Amino acid sequence: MKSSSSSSSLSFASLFLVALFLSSCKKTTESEKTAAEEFKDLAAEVKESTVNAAKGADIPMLPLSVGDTWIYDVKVQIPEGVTADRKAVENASFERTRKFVGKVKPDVGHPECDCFEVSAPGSPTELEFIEVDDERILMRGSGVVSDTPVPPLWLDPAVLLVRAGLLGGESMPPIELTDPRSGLKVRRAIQIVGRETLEAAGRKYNTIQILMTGKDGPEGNFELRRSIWFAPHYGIIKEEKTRYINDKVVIKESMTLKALQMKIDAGK
Amino acid sequence: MVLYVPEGDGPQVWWGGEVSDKVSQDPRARQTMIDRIERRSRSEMSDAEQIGSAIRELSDTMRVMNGQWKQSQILRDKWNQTIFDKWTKQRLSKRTQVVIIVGGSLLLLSIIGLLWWRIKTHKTHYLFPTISPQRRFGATHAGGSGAVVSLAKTR
Repeated sequence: MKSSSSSSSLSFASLFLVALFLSSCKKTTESEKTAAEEFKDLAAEVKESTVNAAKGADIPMLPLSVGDTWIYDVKVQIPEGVTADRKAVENASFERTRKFVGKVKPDVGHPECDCFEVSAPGSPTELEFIEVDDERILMRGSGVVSDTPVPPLWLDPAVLLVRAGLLGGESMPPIELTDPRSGLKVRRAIQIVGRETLEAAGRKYNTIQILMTGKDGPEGNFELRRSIWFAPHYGIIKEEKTRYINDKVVIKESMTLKALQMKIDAGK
Repeated sequence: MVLYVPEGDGPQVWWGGEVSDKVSQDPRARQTMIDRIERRSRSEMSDAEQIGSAIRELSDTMRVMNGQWKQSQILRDKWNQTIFDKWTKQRLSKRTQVVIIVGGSLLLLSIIGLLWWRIKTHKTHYLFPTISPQRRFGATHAGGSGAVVSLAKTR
């Protein structure tokens, strides 16, 4: 009787110690994640939390109704030696109208998407195809209204132009595609410069400045620098576009909102 | 940390701890960027436009860098906090483990010692129920059936 009780207490003690040892071993195997992996996870978490904090005020990004119209003041500058008559064009100005026409099917082989008609005096009417949801605006392509069918410049997959919660310093995925009309490679990089308050069409807009840079042509020497000021809920407020060939300006265009007619805005 | 990408569109700031493409910290790339801004602004149509163009390009680049810098600062602070929390937790858990093992062992050893001592010093004791002397002596085979039992006062 004596020996059985002492052996049972000893075995209990050894079991307790083994359990303690195993529990400490288990803890070390759980924390096997490398520092690099942990950092990556944290970076994603921080980015998500900062975006979430900023995006609430941006939603919906662009509440569109058929007939919504944006009228812009456009100014164009072309240095001498670029045009056919080699004369400089200084501050040529005109009005450009962008009108939302609803869902349109751009071509037989392409799906129906949101479409804007962009018209200016002396230029053929252009079509801009986009996909809009509450949080994002995706570029789908562009086309020209013409008697003879012209294939649209189609972006597949769609390219993200802007989304809710964008902060200065962010970059969008780079774009590279081939223009079906010219067969040339088109490359674009999109960066977010920051947020800015702009005054246009008699009111103030909180905008996101988007910087789009690009290199076109076989040698990549036909460069683009385009700044877009996009106001969540209201669309593009201002745009500046400069084209360079070998770092020399060939055309500059600036566009500022002059008047805005939005159904959602009128309802307020 | 500001990194310059040769032939890139501008300086890149470390974001998320990962920098893709062919990145180097080559200061010559910075000069390349400044030269390009100069070349571009030189081709503008007026003096004011030349200054405006250079300011716009530099300002945009600096603002992008500033935005990235702010984000990297937030990330750096969070990362430092994570490392500190982890270190503190590890230190505490190690201390707790040591306390548990040592304390548990001492407790067990004392229990074992107590049991061992109890076993070693154990003696057989017989305990009887409390029965009155009249009942005990009057019981069958009590051996004292003929005994005269009288109860007397002690004083």
